[in-house]
Amino acid sequence: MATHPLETVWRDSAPLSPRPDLAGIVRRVYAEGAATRQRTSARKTAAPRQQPGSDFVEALGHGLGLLECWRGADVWLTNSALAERSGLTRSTVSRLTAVLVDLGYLARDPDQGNRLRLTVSTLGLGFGSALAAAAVSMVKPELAKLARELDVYAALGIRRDDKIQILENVASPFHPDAVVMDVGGLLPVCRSASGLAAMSALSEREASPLIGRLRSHYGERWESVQRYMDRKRHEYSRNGYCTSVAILSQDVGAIAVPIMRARSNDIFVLACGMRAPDFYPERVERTIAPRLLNAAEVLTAALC
Amino acid sequence: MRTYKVNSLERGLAILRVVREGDGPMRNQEVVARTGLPKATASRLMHTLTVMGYLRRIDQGSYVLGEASARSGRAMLDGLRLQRYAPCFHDLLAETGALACLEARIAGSMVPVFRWSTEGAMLLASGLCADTASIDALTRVCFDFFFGDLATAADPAREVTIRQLSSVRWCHQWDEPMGQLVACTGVRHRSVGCFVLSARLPQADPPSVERMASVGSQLLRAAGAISSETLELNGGEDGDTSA
Repeated sequence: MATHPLETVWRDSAPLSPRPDLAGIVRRVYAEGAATRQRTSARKTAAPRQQPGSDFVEALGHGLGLLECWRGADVWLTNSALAERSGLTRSTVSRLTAVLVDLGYLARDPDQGNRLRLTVSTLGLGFGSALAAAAVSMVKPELAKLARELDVYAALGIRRDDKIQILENVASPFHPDAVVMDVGGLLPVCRSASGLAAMSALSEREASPLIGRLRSHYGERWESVQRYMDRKRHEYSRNGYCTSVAILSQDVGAIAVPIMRARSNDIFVLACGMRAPDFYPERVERTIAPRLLNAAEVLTAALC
Repeated sequence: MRTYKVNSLERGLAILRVVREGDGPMRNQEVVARTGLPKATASRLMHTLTVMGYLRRIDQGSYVLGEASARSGRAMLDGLRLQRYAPCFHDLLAETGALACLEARIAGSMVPVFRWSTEGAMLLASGLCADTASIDALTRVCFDFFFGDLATAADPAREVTIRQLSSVRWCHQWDEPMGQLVACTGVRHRSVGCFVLSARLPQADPPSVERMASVGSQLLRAAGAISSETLELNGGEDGDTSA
């Protein structure tokens, strides 16, 4: 029996004048309609940041988008400027700005032709919070690289007065429980590698009031704390990093490098932690420190 | 009277404020408890805030503030163009170690948001200042005196400050062990809102009457300039050039 290739079978079985593909037409019309609808709607609404059908709440997204319209030296903006910048319709803008004025995030001034300006209430949304101080999401891949390559816990922290707060961290994939310190966690400034690194990087003027407070906090123990801090400051000026073993936690060793940002008094700290037995001078000096200093350079560029 | 109501916007902003007040990782349940929103609504709004970069979801399923949450506050401060007031502080900040701060009330506490010093003017994006804690009480009383209510329990230390504020519209405190003179006054900007302007000046010996008079007058002049944006009126759009 002769065999037919598959396409021949279909051709042979198809009638001479093919019936119109109704389902196909409907699909095509719908698809074209959707494209047109999308083009039309793209003119009226902001570009969707998320696929439709998800949990994204549009009105909230649009409202926040309006607050983001002020850039650079912008002071007063009109509703139409806001509509242009946000891509929203004039009516949506005026509805949302009315709500934002009502809630106190925007001020409208009749003397300024009813233009709008951001108010002090906007500070309450996140300004001044150390956790919102930097685009830390960009930092995570670098921390993950460190954690994997060196088999350490890697973290980025920021100085908050006399504490270091962890902004982002990645545990070692091989020893995930060696160091447990989550985002938001706080380390004391003079009893952790991160804190000591930040202290060493502080200017004299900023350090002196802080030291004054630490002195009264530690009382009688201050002398030994101060001796330890001096030793660590020397270590920092010699090597560019600070280490501490079994100070805060008996079985943890850590090494940290401060990262300073231009035109800001923020001090970030890049730190690696590991089990104390894994923290021996040779490994730290030869392998970990050079890699950490290199990662700090990469992050300095990312954070500035 | 409210003409329009957009619930989700109002609620979303309320969630941000709650997370800001918590100032640390916050779980979904905690946000639900503090805002009183239904769980499904809260998680939809938090999802939106996360997509927009206002919140960040961390490993354990908690949320912390994202970088975008600080953006509108920063834009507001950029709009005030505070660096141009540096000449107002010229004499006040002549000594090394002296600094002036504009402080705002955020989540119930006074947070320095901008700083002038001999080293230049600087936006304090993460709210850090040389020694905020020690003078927090003074700036707080000052803020309450000008813009809030002082109806809470009388406190002898506060009485002195309130007396100073009622008579000369600014208050001061000399911290002998720290060798520091702290002075502050209120700044009410017509459209933007209320701040406290504080100055921390090195002062080893008890301040003389002349010294106090000079500090007070400079502080009040600077506060007046910021609240009315007068530099802008005099210098037009290029007010910055005078800074």
